[in-house]
Amino acid sequence: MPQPVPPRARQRRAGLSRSRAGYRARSRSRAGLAVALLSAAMLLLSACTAGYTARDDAGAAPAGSLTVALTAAPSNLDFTTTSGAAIPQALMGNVYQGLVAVNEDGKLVPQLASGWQVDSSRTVYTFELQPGVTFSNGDPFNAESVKFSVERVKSAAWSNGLKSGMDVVKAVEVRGEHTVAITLSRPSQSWLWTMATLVGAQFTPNGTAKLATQAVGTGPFTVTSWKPGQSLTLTRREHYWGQPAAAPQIALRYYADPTTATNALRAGAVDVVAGMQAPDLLPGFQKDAGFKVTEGTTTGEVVMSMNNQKAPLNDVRVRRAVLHAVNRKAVLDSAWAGRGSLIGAPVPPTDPYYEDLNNAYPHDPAKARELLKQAGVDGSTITFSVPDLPYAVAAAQVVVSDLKKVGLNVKIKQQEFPAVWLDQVLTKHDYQLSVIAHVEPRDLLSLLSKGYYLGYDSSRISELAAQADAGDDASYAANMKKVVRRAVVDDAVADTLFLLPNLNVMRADVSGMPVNAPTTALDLTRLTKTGQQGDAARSGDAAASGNSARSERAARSGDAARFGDDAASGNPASSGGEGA
Amino acid sequence: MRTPLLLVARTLVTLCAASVLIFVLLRLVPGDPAQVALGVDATPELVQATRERFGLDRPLVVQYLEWMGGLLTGHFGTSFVSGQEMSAVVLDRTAVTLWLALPSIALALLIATVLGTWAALRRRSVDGLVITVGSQMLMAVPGFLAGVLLVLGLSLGLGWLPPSGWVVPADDPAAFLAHLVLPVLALTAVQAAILTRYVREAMLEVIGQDYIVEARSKGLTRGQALVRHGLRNAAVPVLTVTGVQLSALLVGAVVIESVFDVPGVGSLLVEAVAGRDMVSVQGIVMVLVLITVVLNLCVDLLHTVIDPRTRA
Repeated sequence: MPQPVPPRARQRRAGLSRSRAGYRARSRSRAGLAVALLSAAMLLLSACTAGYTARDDAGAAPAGSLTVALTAAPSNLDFTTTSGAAIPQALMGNVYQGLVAVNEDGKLVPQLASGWQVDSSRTVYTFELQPGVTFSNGDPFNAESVKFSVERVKSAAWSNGLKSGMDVVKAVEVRGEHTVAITLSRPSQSWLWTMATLVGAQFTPNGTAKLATQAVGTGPFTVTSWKPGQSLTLTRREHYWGQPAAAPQIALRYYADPTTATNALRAGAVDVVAGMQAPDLLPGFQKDAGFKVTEGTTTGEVVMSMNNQKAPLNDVRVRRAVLHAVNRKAVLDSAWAGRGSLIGAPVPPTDPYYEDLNNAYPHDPAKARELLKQAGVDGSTITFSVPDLPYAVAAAQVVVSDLKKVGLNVKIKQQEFPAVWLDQVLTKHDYQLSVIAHVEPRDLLSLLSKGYYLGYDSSRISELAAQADAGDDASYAANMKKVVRRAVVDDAVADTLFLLPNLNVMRADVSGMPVNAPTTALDLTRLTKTGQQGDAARSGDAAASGNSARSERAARSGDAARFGDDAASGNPASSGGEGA
Repeated sequence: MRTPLLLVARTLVTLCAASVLIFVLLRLVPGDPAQVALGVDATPELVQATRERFGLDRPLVVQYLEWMGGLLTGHFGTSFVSGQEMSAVVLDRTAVTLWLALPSIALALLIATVLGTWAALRRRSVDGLVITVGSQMLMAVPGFLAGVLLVLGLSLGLGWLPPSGWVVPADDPAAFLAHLVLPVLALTAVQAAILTRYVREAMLEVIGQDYIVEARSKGLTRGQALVRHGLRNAAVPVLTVTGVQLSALLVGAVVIESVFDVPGVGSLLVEAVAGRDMVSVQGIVMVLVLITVVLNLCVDLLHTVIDPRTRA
């Protein structure tokens, strides 16, 4: 379509008329424009500070500071009213301390108590306290503050369900500035160990007003910046009573996406990625001399629950059939790239009553089919309530195909975690099959307790459990093993799929990162970058600092052998942690 | 002055309706903030005590009115999950997201206008086809993939830009810009692809119109006719789509926020919903509704500027 060349004058006229129309429009909407400009100015103002509520305000990090990438951010700083692993992970041992602590091998060691004596009735514990200890607000730590802290757990101020660990305490008596006697209503093996967890954290009466946002403890660090969901900065305390922390400042950064965290590690923005949630990203780091990878144990048992109260899983034969049908090795391969360990019971190898129960229910589809036939549930359909967590979804897929092979049809119902899962499964027990990692240390008895969502008949083990708790060191471990065998082997209460691994990736010059996580606490006191700080050599725990091997699968069996030492008694190990 | 008053009234009604809706919906979905706070060790007694501490045991009307009273005085309320006053946090995190969304949508619009017009003009040639097919393909690329690829290439590969993170603009403007580039690029790529399609379609629609034929007949080339007379007409539907895309981007950027570790309002909303942090969710949703309403107002205003026919 040939067209004549336009004269320039016409072009200009066209342009002119357009701008006139525009002018009229602008004049009519002047009021609107003014509003728009005003809001734009306000936006600009806040634009310049955008992100200030999410970024660290602890000031410039001093030389030798480190940044640790983690996954789950604490929703607040108060574990007395909020459960979950994220708060104690950041604060226990670093900001808050107990009279006793659990070291990396799962053994009880003195912390704020220099020592303790137990009377012949095994109900009165007399603690000698470390002198010269102060809280970060300047208050002294003494027998009075211990009495305050212990009694506070028993009060309504605590609403974390773990407070039940303190139920056995009858009285706290101040016997001097640095001597305190705690009387139990009955002998209890588990109580002292509980004192090493967050339940035993020591507070000062003047430091509990704003626990959700201000943490006042006796530990080597204080929280100098906290941005919910984003970061938490720990700064070394000047007047700490013990050996000062190795690093002057450690920033904990929370990454929702594991790839983002490892990219930040590669780019040098973080020094350690702790508790890695994406094991498939590890091989790249294991091949790289600039980084090291450690693999240790946690207390996170991934438990596939079978509602013991609901047909058809209320029949022990059906539960046994499920245990025989599920190939747990394949589940572990699929859910955690084969890292982690098969434990056969919700008891990690760091516990004194651990024993290898992997052979109790070997993978045997034929036997599973036979058991199902006996129970008469061939071909029925079961609903599997699966929380929307990557490992749970991956595990569920393997479980479903394994169960289908033995004639059990399983329908997956994915549920939002935590809100919906807690409501439907944990609270209302409205489920048949489900799966979740239970991360609290020594949580076996709470899993088996009356009214818990597993629906276990706790009368089957209550007497044994009471005997265990009341007994001496040796009978504690022996009786708890009986509890495990009764509930896990005889009654097939649940299927413990595997134990979550503790996977850390860090720059090669980082040392002092704990390999194992026998409680929910992440001890950062010895963490340091070598060459930056002279402190590396001082690192106390051999396991924490000395483990510089790149892939730790071999080293881990060594660790497992050490765990066996009973936390309380020194019982020899029952067996190593390597399940497969 | 009838129109501005009407606008304000309309905005207020929208906000009120949104506030009731979000308040009720949050209480209808399963999940309880007290349960979430207490996790797997909860007992029914402790959950009840926590509900009382959060004030969730009070009548819903009282809770709603208390929230409204706070909103009127500029307070979104104190989150019972984090213990923080949420007003400053929500507004600040929204500002972060606007830093991502506004430059992205502006850039995307610019690119789309050029490419879309080009593709419409040259719809029967190879380059026009390449643009059309290319934008189609880019539209299919999920935002996070674009993000991951950008990080691999420009950051980890070439080391030009930081892979993730956020710097407060006033603290260090240069570092701020460096951190902004990749997430903005990732968002722009997908948005530009979407908008290119709309610009192309709107232009094709315009090309056949009488006024273009007339412009041609008075001596303009096809390109000149389109740029002078076509663009303005094509702008009307494109503007509407841009407004919608921008509102969607405010929450939709959450994936990019996660990939680039940007503390935007999307990630704040996701965290708040997961924790059933009602105070935070309510505050965020109200801000987002307000922004959407303002955006729609702006789009309406721009329509009257662009198209005289829409003026009263």
